[in-house]
Amino acid sequence: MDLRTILWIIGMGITAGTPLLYAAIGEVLAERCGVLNLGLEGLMLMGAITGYMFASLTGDKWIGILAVIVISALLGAILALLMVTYRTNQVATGIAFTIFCTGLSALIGKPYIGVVATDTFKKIRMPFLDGVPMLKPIFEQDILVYIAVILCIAAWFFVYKTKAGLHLRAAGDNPATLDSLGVSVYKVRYIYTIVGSILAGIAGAYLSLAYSPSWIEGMAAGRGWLTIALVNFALWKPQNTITGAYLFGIFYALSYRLEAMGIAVPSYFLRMFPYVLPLVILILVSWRAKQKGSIAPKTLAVPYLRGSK
Amino acid sequence: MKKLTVFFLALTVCASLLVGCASSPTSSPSPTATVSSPSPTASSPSPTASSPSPTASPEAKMKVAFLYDTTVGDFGWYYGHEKARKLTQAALDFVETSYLENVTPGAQAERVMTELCNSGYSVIVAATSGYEADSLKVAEKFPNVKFINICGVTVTSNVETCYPLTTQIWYMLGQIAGKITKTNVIGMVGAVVFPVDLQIQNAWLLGAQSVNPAVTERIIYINTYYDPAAERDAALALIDAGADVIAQATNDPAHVQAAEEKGVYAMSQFEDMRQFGPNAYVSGDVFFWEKYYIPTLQAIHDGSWKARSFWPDIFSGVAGTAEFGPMVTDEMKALVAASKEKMKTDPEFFWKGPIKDVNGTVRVEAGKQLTQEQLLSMDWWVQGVVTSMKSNP
Repeated sequence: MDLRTILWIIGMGITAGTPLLYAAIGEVLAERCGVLNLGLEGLMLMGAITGYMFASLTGDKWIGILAVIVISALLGAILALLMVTYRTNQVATGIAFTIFCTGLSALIGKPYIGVVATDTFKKIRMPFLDGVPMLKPIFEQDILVYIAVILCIAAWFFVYKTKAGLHLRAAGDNPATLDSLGVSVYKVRYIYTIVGSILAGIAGAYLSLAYSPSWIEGMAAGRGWLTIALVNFALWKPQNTITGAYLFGIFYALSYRLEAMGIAVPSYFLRMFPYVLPLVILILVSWRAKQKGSIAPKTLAVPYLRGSK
Repeated sequence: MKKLTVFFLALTVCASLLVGCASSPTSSPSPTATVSSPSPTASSPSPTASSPSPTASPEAKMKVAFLYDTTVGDFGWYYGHEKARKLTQAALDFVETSYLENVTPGAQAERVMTELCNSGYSVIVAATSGYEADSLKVAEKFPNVKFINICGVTVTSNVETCYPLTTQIWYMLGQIAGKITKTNVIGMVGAVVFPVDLQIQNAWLLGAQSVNPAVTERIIYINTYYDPAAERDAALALIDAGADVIAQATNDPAHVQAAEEKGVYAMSQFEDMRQFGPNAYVSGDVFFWEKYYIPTLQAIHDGSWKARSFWPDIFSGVAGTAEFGPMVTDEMKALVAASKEKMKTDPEFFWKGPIKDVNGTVRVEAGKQLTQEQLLSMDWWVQGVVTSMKSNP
């Protein structure tokens, strides 16, 4: 395998990892404040169809993204209402929500099957790279890829360097203390469930407006579930999500490229290969938790009830 | 109204799927409780979707159920079946059709089929090869119910199989691909290793090699018929590996978009996918399943039906060649026309020997031709295919 191919794989891995990165940043924020949002797959599908619908209706992809933000925030508020205010079981709620959104997105999406959106996110041409065409697959990405990178850095800064970030972490690790400081745990959990949902929605819109521009039912294809694993993989640290998402993307791209070369490894194995990575890391995370104590948010998936221990 | 029924249908199917998964094999009552849920919804709302006045005709209609394992929204395989189902419904006033999406082959499909048989369905169309084992099992228990296994292999007294003989089309498309390629590499986004798919993949390359012996075909198997993003990634990997004509065995048009984006050519199966890549689209096969469903259901209704293994050829109208793109020259058109003329008298001449497989072993000796059984159990690739899946090494 020559250098050109390796760089191509990395470039493609970055693209493939971007929807995971958006969703993982959002889920890290939600889980850090104690909310396990398993509705990601459904939110992605809703984001994909909303984005595609508005982008093809108005002819402007940014209006599509704006619509995704609004709708995902609404869906996130519903999730927060259920999981934070009514303290429903977060695992069951998330799964039920995904099933609901899978059906709803299919219903809304029926008229958009086979419709071609005129304005979608295209790779940005970088003329100054003409001298080194090898680097083009890596750096010639669409704008959403770059936004995701900035967002990842911003999330790291926010969680660890700001007061609001401290509140976020406290809401997950020690909500009673946060409450006694006069900060509403409910409010904090509402905010990040909604933020997480918006990012999952954008992840979906990335699929339908940039990655494979079209609406096809069920196009999230399990990426929402994979994101849940990626968050453990990232040890609940926003800055680690980028490594996880891109690494998975690269393994994913590699598996296809190896097969195109006719390498004598059955494609069953190659398709399975990228998923071995999260499994291995999950084992390492759990092993590390045994050695040094778990670093998962202490009240993850535990609904908060003011006044109770 | 119709969309609403589809939605609730999807919801119940999903719910049954979930409960089925959640309530592990140990508990028996809940799976049976969920089985019944998809079929009442399937039988009750669908008449409103398909027949305008269910109360108008008191005499029993012939109830026909179509089972799909993914979605009719794929703009490919199931989209085509669903289009045909509607046309069939419109053409035959004695049938009452309904369809179920997202029925997973295996235990779920078997339960759904059993439930359909129990609730008065007389014909079940299992629209993917994945259902074959299930429908054979259920068909044995309900000898009066007729089963149509699309892409199936085994025929019994009440199980018919059908797949259009698209290898003819793909041989001709291969001739175009062999002429149009500049890199001498053509690429196939494969789904799973399955005899009918292998026939098409081999016929495509044989066609290309018939006009340009230097052509090789790279195949990536994504191990599913439906994952648009994976299909796109596979197509991009093929293009990066040098392929400049891309086709697919999967259900939808993702590879056409990838080809359009990278400025290479695309061919497609099942539907005309031109709109997804106007500059890339060369041609493909297109299906008109209604031309099979209507006469078959008519025959079942009249009582003249007899189960068969049916492979309608290009002259039957069940499948045809999509309109050629502007890049197809008169020379290529002449090649295709000559092959088509030959198929009138010798429908599958391209399976004549000598044909070597990917390991160099002679599979068909000169003067011989592959038999129907050999085709139905095809598990090898012709020489010139590059794939990770090497059978019988």
